[in-house]
Amino acid sequence: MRRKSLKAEVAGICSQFNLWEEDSFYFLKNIFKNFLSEKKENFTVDIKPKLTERETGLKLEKFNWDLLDKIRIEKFNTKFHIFSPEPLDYNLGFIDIRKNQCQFNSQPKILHRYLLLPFLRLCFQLFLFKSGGFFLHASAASQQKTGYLFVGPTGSGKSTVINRLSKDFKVLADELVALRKYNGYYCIYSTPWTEKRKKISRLEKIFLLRKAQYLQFKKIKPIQAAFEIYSNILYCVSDYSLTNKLLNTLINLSHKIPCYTMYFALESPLSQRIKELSEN
Amino acid sequence: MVKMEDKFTKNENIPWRLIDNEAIIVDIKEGESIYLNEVGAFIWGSIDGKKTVKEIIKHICDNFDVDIETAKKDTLNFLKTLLEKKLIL
Repeated sequence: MRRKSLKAEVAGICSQFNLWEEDSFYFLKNIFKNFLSEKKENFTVDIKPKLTERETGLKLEKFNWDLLDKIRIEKFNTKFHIFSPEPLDYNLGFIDIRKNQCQFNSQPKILHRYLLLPFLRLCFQLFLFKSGGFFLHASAASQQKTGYLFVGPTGSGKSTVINRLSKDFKVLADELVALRKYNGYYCIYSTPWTEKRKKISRLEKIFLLRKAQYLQFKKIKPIQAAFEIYSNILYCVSDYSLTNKLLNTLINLSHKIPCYTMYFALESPLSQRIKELSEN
Repeated sequence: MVKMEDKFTKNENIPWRLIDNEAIIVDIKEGESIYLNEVGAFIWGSIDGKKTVKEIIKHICDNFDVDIETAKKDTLNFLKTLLEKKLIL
């Protein structure tokens, strides 16, 4: 097949995917179907064709599938090189944030799809860092274009809170949220990795989740908010300039957007209290 | 082992910010952020390659309501942690 391309946009960042295989093209087109874009791309990703198992000598019976999320990143000069977890330790490709070019190397057929989506998420993550944004372990809801972010690690109650709010609020995302400043406002976005629909909302308040026996909102200082939000950001890379940029974003964000620790119990009247907080 | 006459400098590859007398430091190697309260941020701000540990402890006693023994114990422990994490050199 000659080269086919498609463009997808996440949190206002547009990427052009270049592919040489029909099935991979339609696979991505389906995953990103509600995130397709006509904008000029911010970066390109060349997605190389798959290899057969014979070509790689891969023994899949020895592979621990649980390790697939644990991608290793190493920086050489201006490029981030991405490696699959040990024991495979494949060079998955590179992300060059200066030249706005990425490449997903040829992978064994059976691993291709498992590795491609995490790789693309990492590409968007690094270009989001570059644009003053990031992906966050959070759920989000909105009401009349006003967005609320619920931040916390796995098990903190993100989905529980969103389910409780779903009668009165629109659900923006359940697990992963992109955050970025746009037109002078901090905005939150759904992403194709966890959501089917593209949604955006202007961020009004941030809630850091804590399970408790009661419902209480405690406003916290910007520096504490920045610290807590940092620990829930995806893929913090060992790079001074990107981390410095991220810190600037976090400090600005936490000064602009009120941040609360939200202690909650299952039976707490969340919708009502969040509405009251917004009106005050 | 941290000694009273030691002088330390901040690792210049460590991003950090001081806000309202508190600080956030990012250990980029470990991918974790560290929050420093007012005393921690004061110590961090005092690490300039010129002041000895002894001088930093004296400054803490001059600026905070704390006795010398407590200040000494807490400062030595804090500096030891920073050294172990290579946040100071």
